[in-house]
Parts: sequence; structure tokens; C-alpha cells
Amino acid sequence: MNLAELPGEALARRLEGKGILLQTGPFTVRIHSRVEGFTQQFRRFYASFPVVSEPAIADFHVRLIMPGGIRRRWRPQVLLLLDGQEVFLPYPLSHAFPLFEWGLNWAIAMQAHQYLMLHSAAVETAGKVMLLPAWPGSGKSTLCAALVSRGWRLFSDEFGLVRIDDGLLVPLPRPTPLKNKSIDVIREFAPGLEFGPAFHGTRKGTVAHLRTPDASVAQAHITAPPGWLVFPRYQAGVPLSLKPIARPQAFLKLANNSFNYQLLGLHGFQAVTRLVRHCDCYILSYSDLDEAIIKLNQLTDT
Amino acid sequence: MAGDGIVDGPEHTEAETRWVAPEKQELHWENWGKQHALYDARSGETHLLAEQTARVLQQLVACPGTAREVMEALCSESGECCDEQSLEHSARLLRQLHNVGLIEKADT
Repeated sequence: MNLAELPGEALARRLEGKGILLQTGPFTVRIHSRVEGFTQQFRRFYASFPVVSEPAIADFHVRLIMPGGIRRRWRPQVLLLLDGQEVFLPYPLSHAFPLFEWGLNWAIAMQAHQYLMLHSAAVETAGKVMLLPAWPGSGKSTLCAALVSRGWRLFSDEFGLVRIDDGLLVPLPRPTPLKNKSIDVIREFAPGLEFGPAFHGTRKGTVAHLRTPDASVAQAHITAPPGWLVFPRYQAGVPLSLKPIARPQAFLKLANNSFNYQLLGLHGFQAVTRLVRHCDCYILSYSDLDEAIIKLNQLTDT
Repeated sequence: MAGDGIVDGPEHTEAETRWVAPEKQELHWENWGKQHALYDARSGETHLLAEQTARVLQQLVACPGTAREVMEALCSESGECCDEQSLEHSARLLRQLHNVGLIEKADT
């Protein structure tokens, strides 16, 4: 059953009661909420995601609550509990959905050490995954959204999840958060995409989420091998350039980009070296999305 | 210790220092032509080594030795001619490997 098949009132009751068990990529998440406004946004963005039948063991327990006290009257807030623990300061109530998304990212990054986790977007075409590893501000999410709008399968906007034992990439499609100028860039680039509301004044500025394509959610159980490592670098006005980089350089960049390379020890080393061995490695500098996508399509067609 | 009047053991010149590398199974290599990535399972550290440094370390893994012995083994393997410059180079690479914790001075 998908989330959309649960009537609105039943969903709200479940969220307020024993929680919803949602499947997102390889993870089962139990979600509780008694927060006004969250249910509608959650339902909208996760409509096509599978609901896991009870009983089942959850990888993560996420609970959204409204703290009590007098503040609740004049400036209501929302608090996120992960496995019963507070991990962030409270957010304004209206930011419950982005808080949920960041909280789930945090939970995965802190706990999913059965995978090598790269801070990377990942998109698939022709049965192989292109990883776009980058730190914030590099244009990773924008490029990822643009590729997905042109038919690439979304693996993840945030995580390159590499299975340790066979090196395959594991999909984790979720809503894509675009920030600040990227929102209008993608609205203009792909007018057909479904955006949620803009959340202003978050710790990352204005954030608006793109709905995950249903086809990517439906194929979230289908892993794929890595094919290309492309380190994106957006810079206004620069001419397009896609330069191959040597494997040692790609190795260093990738190891530094990983959330848990050090923690995985030898497994991390083996996973990163295998990835670099099996990928063509490039640095992409771009300022124009159309040009970048033509170039990446040419790369993957050859 | 030279010059301070205290005698605390035999002195070695740098060329006489014997170096020892970790056991072979502690080191995990990835080779990309002239660059090598190395994972040291004892420390959990990853190192990126140039070709010559990797050869020096691999020689020490095969057999502990002094800078001269290492150099002679490598020269013999490659058919290159050994001179004082290559001895200095070998000693410098050994110092670098020691500085990053990949080799140690052998017990005398």
C-alpha cells in the first residue's frame, strides 16, 4: 500500500497514534506527528511511497512534537525527536516539513554505516549511476533536479549509498530540497515539476522541495553499478568544461567527501577504491544547465 | 647522546639505521600507475604514495634494512646504477615514511 491510499483522516490518526511505517529506499522509518500542517505536506511529498505493514522493525524512529509552555501561544515551535532524543533545537512550527527532511538525513548519516555514504547526488541512466559528489553550494541539487527533469532516474539528491559487499549503488529517492536562487532556476528550466511551498528563513535560506518522481520511487529497490564520477562546480558565467581527472585525485576527493570513510576503516578504503576503479572521473564546471545536460548526455551515450 | 657527556647507547649514522615496515597483511594497496593508495590497518590511516616511495616501502616489507640495503635492492631489481645521490634519495624517502608512521626503526 502507498501512502496516498490511506485516507487523510486515517493517516492523521496513524501519525498521532502508533505512527506510520514508511519505506524510503532501503530504510524503514516510523514517523509520529502531532504537528499541525505537517500531515498534509507529508502526504503530498510521500504519496507514492510504500507503507510497511505492521509488525515491522524500523531503522529510525522520527517524532515531531510541539513543545509546551507559553511560547506555544505566541511563537509556536516544532521539535524533532530521533529515537526519542532531541538532536536539533526547535524550529518554527511552519518549518516542520524541512525539519523532518533534515532530521531524517541526519539519522541516516549518523547510523547507516552498513553503507559507504557519500555526500552526493546520484542519478541513473542506461543502467549505470552517475555520482555527483559535492559539498553545499556546488550546484549538486540543481544539476540533479535538472537531470531528473530530463528523464534520468533519481537515486538520491543527498546520499550516494554504496553497498559494501558488492559496490552497487542503492537508491534512496526522497524530495529534493532546492535553495534560494536554485528554486527559480529549476522552475524556469522545468516548469512541469511539482514544487511544494517555499520555506523562508530556514538555516539554509529559502527552501522549496521538489516532489520525487513516482517512477523513481517505484524503482527504489533496483540497485545499479556506478558508471561515472562527476564532481560538479557551479560558477556564474564560467564556460562549460568537463575535464577528466586522474584516479588518485578522484580517490582523495571522494574519500574526503564521504560521511563515514574513516569509520568504515578497511571497508571504506576498499569501497572507495573499487568505485574509482569502475568509474570514469571528471570535474564539471558549469553555469548553464542546458549545456551541462547536453554534455552529460553525450558522456553517457558514448 | 653526543656532546652532553651522557652515554645512553650505541650511536648510528642515518645510513646505518635499520628500518622495519609493518607486516604485509597490515597494508592494503591500490595501484594507479605511478600513484599508489595505501591503507594502513594498524592506524586506520590512508596514504597516497608516489611510485618511488611505494617501492621503498614494499622493499622494506619484503626485508627490513638500512637505506643503503634498500637502495641496493631496488637498483638491483631495476638494473639502475646506484650512487650517493640515490642513497640520499632513499634515506629521504625512509625519513618521510617514518614521519607518517609507516615504518619504524628496528630494535638494535
